[in-house]
Amino acid sequence: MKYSCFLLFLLFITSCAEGPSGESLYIGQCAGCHGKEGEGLGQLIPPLADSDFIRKNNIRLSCIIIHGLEGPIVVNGVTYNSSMPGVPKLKNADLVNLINYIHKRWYNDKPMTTIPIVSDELAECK
Amino acid sequence: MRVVVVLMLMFVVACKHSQVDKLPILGNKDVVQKEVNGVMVTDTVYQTIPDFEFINQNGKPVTQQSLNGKIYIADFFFTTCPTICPAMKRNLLTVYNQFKENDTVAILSHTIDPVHDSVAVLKDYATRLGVTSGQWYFVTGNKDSIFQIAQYYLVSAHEDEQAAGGLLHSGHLVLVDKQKRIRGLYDGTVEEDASKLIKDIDILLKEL
Repeated sequence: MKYSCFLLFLLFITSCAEGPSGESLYIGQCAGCHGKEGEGLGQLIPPLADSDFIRKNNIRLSCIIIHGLEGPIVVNGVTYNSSMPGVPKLKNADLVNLINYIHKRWYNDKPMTTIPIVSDELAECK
Repeated sequence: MRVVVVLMLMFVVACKHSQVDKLPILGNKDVVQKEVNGVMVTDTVYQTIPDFEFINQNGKPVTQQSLNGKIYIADFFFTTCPTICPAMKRNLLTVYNQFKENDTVAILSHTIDPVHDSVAVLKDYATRLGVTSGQWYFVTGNKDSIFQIAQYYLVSAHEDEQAAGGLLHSGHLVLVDKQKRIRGLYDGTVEEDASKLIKDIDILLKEL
């Protein structure tokens, strides 16, 4: 009994990083611009939901979230050219929760990310 | 007896009338004494938005005269604003879509970064936002004039090196009536305030 409780506890602490939930981070940091439903804002701000830009496997969400994004990008056939501010102070644990929230909500097929993965990605941001 | 009935009817009508929602008049006011028919009477004079001249996204001038007979919502933003502006514009878009067909309602968005936000930039911004008809004016003009008039709208706007984007401004939406008086202030970043604004516009439209 104690052993299975311990296993459950281990499972719990490894599957979510500590800190604010992905959802609360999304609402606090992203929803103002990208919308509560990830719909974006007209042709000013790209959507996060059903975005072919995000679906690309080589995209590093962690780099974009931390450093922001400048310059024109094409999302679902529309060119956007405003600059996105980054959230440089976001801790790795929070970044993991936020990315996993985005994946779970709109990109089920994408794997969960972890702190080591995010650390490696951030080291490679250009 | 008939007088009593008439008086009672008048009372009922007057009471019903006072139950109709009425928006407050906000802003600075002066209480003045004036003589009416030989009697000194106290009157309240409310602050009004002074005249201005700015240029809209179509290159056309916009002044107080352009807004005569209309109620309007004023706000201050800049196109490269990274923080509160998108949320404000999203909420204003809800208001715009609600009253697009109504000539009596206008929206006046002032840029506080006229150096960057030229007519062409504002036109692109408006189009991208989905504003191609109706009376949503995105205006630019002399920077000092814009900052000065912001104060009349009870909105703060000024340059600030520490602020993201270099400009600091409050995210208020200001409801102005046909007499150019402020009738409501709403937090443009809060969806519930946008709903209240829509309700208040309906109330104000009924005011004679």
